Amino acid sequence: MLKQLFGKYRFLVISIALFLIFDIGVLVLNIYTSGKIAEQTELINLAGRQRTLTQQMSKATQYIRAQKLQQWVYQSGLAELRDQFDVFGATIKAFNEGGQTTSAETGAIVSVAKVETPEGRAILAEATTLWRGFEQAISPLMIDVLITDEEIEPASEFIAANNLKLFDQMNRLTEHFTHESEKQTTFLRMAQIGGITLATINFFVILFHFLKQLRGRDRRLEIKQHESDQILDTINEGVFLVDENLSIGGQHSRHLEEVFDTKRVSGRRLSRFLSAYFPEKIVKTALEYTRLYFQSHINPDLIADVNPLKRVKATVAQSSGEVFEKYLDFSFAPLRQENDKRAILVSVNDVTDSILLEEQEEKNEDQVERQLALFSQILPINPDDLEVFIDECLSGFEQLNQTLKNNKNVTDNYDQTLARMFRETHKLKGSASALSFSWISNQLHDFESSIEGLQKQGERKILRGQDLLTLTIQLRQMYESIETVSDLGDRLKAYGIKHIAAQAANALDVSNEKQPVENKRWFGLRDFAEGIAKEENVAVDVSLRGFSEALEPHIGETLYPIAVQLIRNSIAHGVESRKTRQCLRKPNSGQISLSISHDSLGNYRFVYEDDGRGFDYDGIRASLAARGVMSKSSAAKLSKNELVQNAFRDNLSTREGVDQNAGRGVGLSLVWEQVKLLEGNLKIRSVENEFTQFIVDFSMSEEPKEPLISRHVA
Amino acid sequence: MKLLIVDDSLVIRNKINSGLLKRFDKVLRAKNGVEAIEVVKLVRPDVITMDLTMPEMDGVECIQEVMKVCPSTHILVISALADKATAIAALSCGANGFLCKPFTQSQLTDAIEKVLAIQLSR
Repeated sequence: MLKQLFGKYRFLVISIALFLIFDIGVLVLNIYTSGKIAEQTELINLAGRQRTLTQQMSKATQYIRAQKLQQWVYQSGLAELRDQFDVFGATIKAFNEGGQTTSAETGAIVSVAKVETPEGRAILAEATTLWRGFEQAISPLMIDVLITDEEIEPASEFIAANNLKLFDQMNRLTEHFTHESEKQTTFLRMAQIGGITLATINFFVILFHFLKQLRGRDRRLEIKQHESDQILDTINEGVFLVDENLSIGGQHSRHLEEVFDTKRVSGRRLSRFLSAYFPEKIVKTALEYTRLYFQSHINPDLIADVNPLKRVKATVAQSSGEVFEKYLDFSFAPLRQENDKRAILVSVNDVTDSILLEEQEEKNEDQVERQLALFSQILPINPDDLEVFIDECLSGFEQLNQTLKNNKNVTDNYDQTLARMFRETHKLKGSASALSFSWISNQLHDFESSIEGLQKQGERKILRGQDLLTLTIQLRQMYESIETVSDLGDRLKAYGIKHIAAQAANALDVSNEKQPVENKRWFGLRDFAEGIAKEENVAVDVSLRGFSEALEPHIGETLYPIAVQLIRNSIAHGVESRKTRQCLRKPNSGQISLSISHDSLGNYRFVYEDDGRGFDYDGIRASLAARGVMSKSSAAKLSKNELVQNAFRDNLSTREGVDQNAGRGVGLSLVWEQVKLLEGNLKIRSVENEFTQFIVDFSMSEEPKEPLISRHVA
Repeated sequence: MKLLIVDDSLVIRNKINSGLLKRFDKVLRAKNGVEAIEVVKLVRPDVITMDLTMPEMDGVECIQEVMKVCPSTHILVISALADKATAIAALSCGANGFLCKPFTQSQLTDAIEKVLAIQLSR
């Protein structure tokens, strides 16, 4: 019960109670013993008076006798004797039985307790016996005013004979009372000393007990403090407390200082602390999130997912002045403190290494995937075609690089520069597509998109050299890609792995038409066309004539991009769907033919023809208007010949939207660029819904010629 | 016990319904905030699962309205983690917990029990 009532303070309460009991005990004993001593003093006085009275009664008797003999007046002596007799008698009676008598000091009536001590009783017994003799001797003198000689003489003799005896007894009694008084005084002193000693001992017990307790508690606190300091110093995590006012507590782990490279943490507002490392928006959300932990309607287990400080990027400015970016991961745990106040334990981990590792792993996985994809794309390509393509790319990239370098510091002519770069890229993309090499063609497509973006920017503002920086970066990546391809191709060769295409080509060589090694990629155009046709959801048949004879490298390299672009154009724009073709009574598959022939003088003719819908004149008009080349009304007035002429402009396309196959309007302009390289003439014949024919005439003789486009449109 | 599922996706409504059908006596559905408020006024559900991005009235606005009409309702926000700030705003307004899409049935039932365990004194 005491334990319940006073808890850990019960020892203190008991100690104080004992202290009071000892003190009150001594006080009560003091009062009691003091009373006893006072009574004893009265007895001593009374006994002393009795002793005096024996002497006085003897003296009075002798006085009366002497006066009587002289016949003098003796009544005064008689009155004294009678008083002395009464007082002595009353007092000795009071000693014997307890009762009242007159005080020896004041004369007042005092009560006297019966003497109980054996020694006192013995003295009194003897004294009482003697007093009875005195009473018998003196009592005749108590009756009349006049006394006779027969009355005084025996009394005088008796008193003279026994006076000293009674005096002696009264003296003994006085000494006895004095002795008793001394005993009580000694007892009182001893009791006082005992009480005070106990109280003092109790006091020191309390003092030492509490000193011990305090020291123990201090030591435990020190140990706890030391332990928590050790934990906070060694824990590999930033830890701190946040109170309901969103202020940071007084203690935090040392690691926290390392994470944020600051010692100013304790007692700061959370908002100020976070603002030093995170953008305002994140800080605002983080504070709102922290407040949720203090709201009673929220289950803390159900809000961890919305933690805005999970794997968040922080900018930490170090004392050296350097600024670092770190990824930090905060976690929150609600606590209830002793005084029922709430707090949140916030722990912070630097997860930069693990995030960078994850990113690196992802990058590696991507790279492995890309290499696998690259490998799977390279394997079917004829090694010779691949070699030609790599050379073509390296040469094309070099041209692009030179163009970028030359235009770094020039602020005008960007239109032309970009158009030239676009054409070069488009040509390479055509070659990549022809080899079904999407890994490279996608990069070239992205490069085209970047050029197109710059062209659009150029319509709004004057471009500067730094605007071309993205192209430089992309070009560098493409260089790396083509080097990877080259490296992989070399390795495949080194391992002696025969390419699927090479094997297939070798197999075909047995049964099919003659395919000179120099012209192999021309025969690959059938697969290329089928691939694009599949994407465009149409069907085509490609026939080749005149390619059984090996083409001169220069002619082959220049004509090949023309063929690629025209095939793409035919499939994307010309060849109708199977249903439409059936309605037009055309074969289900679009017919594309390529032929090359030459005479003995070195005059060449390359003919490309499809049986598609022909030129989309309305589309060209709309595109011219949309590109701002001319107004709608001017475009409407253009003849078909003029429209075809305009179709060779850069960036003109009748296709809505851009994809790998068409839409950027660069195909025909590229064709014209290639024709110009051959110093040849281009003739175009087109009949709506019947066919479109491109005829390139060029000569390999030494006479220079001016290139010319002529159109024959039905 | 009555449950109200508020989500504009039929697939999600069906998924929540199938996961919690046995736990509740009655399950009601609403495909946007406006419908949800009408249902709350009539039925006063014990629990609401609330999407945040919905046409007509979004989740946060809907929670604010529900708090006015029926403050004793437990609300579990079930949403994708596109915008944490909106999710936190929903919790500040009176929602009791958050479950991230996509979720498993056991995650759903666990979250519902945790939300129901909260003593609401409003």
